[in-house]
Amino acid sequence: MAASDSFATEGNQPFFHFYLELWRNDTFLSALRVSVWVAFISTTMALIIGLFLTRAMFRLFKRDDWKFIAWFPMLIPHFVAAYICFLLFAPSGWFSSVVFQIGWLETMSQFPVFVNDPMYLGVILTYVWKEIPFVILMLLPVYQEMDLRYEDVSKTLGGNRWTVFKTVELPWIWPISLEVFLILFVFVLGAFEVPALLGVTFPKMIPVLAYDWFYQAGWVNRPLAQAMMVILSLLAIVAAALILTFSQRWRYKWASRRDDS
Amino acid sequence: MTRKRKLWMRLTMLSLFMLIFVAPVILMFLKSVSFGWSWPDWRPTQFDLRGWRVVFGDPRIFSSLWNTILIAGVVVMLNFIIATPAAYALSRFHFRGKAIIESLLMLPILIPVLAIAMGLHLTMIRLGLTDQVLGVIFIHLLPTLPYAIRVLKSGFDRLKNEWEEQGAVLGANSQTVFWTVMVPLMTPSIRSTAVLVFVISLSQYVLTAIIGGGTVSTLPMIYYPFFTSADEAVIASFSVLFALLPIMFLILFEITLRVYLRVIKRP
Amino acid sequence: MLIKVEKLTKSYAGQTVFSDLNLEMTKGEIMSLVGPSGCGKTTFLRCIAGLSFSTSGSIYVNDVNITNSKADERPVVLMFQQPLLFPHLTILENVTYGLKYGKNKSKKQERIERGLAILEKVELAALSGRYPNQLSGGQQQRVALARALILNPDLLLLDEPFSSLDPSLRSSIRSWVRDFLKKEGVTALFVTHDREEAMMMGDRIAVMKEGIFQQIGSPKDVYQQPKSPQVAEMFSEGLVMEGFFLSPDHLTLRPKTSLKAADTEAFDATVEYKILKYGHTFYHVYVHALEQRVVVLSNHEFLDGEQVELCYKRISLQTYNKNHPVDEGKSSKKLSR
Ligand SMILES: Nc1ncnc2c1ncn2[C@@H]1O[C@H](COP(=O)(O)OP(=O)(O)OP(=O)(O)O)[C@@H](O)[C@H]1O
Ligand SMILES: [Mg+2]
Repeated sequence: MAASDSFATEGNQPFFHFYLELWRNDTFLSALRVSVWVAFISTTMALIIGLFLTRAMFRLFKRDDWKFIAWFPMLIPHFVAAYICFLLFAPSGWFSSVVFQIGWLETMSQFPVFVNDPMYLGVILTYVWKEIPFVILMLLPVYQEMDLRYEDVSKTLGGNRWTVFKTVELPWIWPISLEVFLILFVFVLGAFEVPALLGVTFPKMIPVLAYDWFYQAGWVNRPLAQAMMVILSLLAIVAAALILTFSQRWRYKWASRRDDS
Repeated sequence: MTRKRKLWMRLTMLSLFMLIFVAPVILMFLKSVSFGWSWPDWRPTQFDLRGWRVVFGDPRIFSSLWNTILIAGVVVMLNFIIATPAAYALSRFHFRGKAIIESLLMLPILIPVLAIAMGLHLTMIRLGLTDQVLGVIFIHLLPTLPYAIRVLKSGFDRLKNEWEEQGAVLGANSQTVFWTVMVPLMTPSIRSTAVLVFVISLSQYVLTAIIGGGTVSTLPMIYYPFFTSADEAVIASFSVLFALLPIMFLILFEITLRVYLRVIKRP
Repeated sequence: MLIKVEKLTKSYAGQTVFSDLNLEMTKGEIMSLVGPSGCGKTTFLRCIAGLSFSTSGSIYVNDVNITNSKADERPVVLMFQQPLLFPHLTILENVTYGLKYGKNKSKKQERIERGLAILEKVELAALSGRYPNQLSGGQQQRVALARALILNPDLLLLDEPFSSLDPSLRSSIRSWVRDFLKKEGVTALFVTHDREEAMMMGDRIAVMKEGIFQQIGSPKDVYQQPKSPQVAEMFSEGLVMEGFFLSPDHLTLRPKTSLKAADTEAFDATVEYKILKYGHTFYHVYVHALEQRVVVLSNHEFLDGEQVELCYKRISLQTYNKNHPVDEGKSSKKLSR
């Protein structure tokens, strides 16, 4: 429906009018850049940190309910997480205060800008904090089902830590990691709540821009907003298709390799 | 690894978790009950409930709170009603087109919900679903259902078929087996689903804003304007309220589950 | 006849697992079912229990046709390889599950009484309040048995119930179970991989291979008079030849040099190793001509690797009796026609 609205032609304008206009629109292009940047960095960081925590957790807490502490951020809505980030990292925030008490700062303004900054560092931090538990939630069952005898074999054959990880764990966690990456990446790309609070007026992230355009007086930019969302959806679906086929083939390759040996 | 070293590592890890995942929320709580805590104090000096009084003094708060809980509660229930049979079928049966259906069910995770909401907006206006709770509930199903189906499906995947067969062989019909064997064995998945769905519904601002059109007031609707106000204790109190709701929901849900287990357990 | 299975056939997507199986059992009888892995034993039990449906054929219990009834409506209980005790229920609650949620609901007081009574019988009444994960593997299996027997099933099906237990526990619990089933007069069909277990548990043994019952008979008959080379290979310990079979009790060993008696034949064989058991010496020998190994009791002393002769009387050579009908059920029918 968004698609058909955005294709709608006015008078003798060409069919793809709005898409072409978008492509020439600097506001859109910078929004796209910053959105991809935020989504990529925060998802990658959440995945890597989550992976390390999962590995440690699964070895240290076989059946220890304390590990549910790591689930805690899942109970917190995204915008509250954004506020917590603000509390900690704003120039008037807690870290700034601590640094002042240590004596490294004289005024608030000397503290590096982490929130409402054009690099969206605050948004990234918020997403990393919120998504790590999700990564753990998805990866932990895989580790619990993993057959660690392979690991022992690999160790006794003299593999170092990296080889062990690469040959034993990676094949198991690779497909699910890709899936998690995809889900989180697309989610961050399309989520409005956090950048609306911690973002800046330029560049805006795509969802915020779309919302603005959608609700602007006179509705002049509405088709543009819809065209933007259609592009975003198509991007997401193409990425999903690519990644899923890739991981499927990978899984298949691995399965057949195990049968051979 | 020696036992002692392992113990130390566990303690370190737990402290790390506390520090990263829990301490920030505690800081937020302190902020909400502090008085005049501002830069460059690193800790509060005076305590006061003014922030909380302001939040609960707002005339809109109770109706919004009620709306929020009502919507989230109904969304959780609808999720279970729709996702359980879907997840069961996807887990237990093999049929043609299963892969396609599974991908379709994943779509709302992959397509930004904002896009779907913008697309559905006109249709929902025509159907008269906008500007009312029903429409908001419907739109909240989009970002929640895929997760519910996914979590429940992996729960069913882990549950061996033999449990159901054991129940059947002992003379219980499939419905009885579902309520007395499957549900108790699925409690971890059920709990995760409920909390996840509740939190996602609670966190929706933009969907509620678009479909509710400002008529349906939920807590996030009044939170966002508050955020720009400079009164930190008030925002902190409001934020704590948001953190408390899922925790209270979890506790309530847990109690319900326990009571349920009690009831079906009797010999 | 309590149990009657007629021409039961099961196939998956065109692949036949078994076909035209006939079986009859009388009340209180225990039947062992043996066969190589993948021959369809589990599938057969599942069809009788109603967990899978047969492609054709019928099943009667007490002359009632149950071929198309659902699992929960059949007077049949299946015990799986694992005990599958419901982890959220205590032992007593597990045992009374079928009474509470089954067809014939009984009153709460009665349920508890009967539950405790049957736990008494399996010697676990003291643990009635515990949860399954607090029990040992053998205790869990006994609870599973109690949970099945409390329903007074017309037929109890057991699918390798002891295979997850360690060997010593296994041998003690199986004799206990056999005595228990006999004492309670339970009709049971018992699947196992283990020849010894089959002989000690079953009043009769059914040997299944390649989708049919090769032979059904008493342990002694099956052991000493196999009706086909397949049965002989699988169940007996004698020598299997084309058209003939030599029961192990007719085999003797002697040194190679000695003379041959008129009514005696001999195979050349090599002693591989010996084992001392029950106060006797058993020699594992390899018969070159047949490429088979056999275990023979002997009072002579032989060395490992020694060339010996494996002797038998010509009259002890037996044929497989192939034309003899495999199942008694079938034969009686034929006579009545
Ligand atoms: N659901 C199914 N779909 C297709 N084929 C099946 C199915 N279940 C079993 N089979 C096939 O039926 C045959 C018999 O299986 P079954 O499990 O009955 O063997 P079994 O005698 O119990 O073996 P085991 O002694 O190893 O337990 C096997 O070849 C198996 O591959
Ligand atoms: Mg089997």
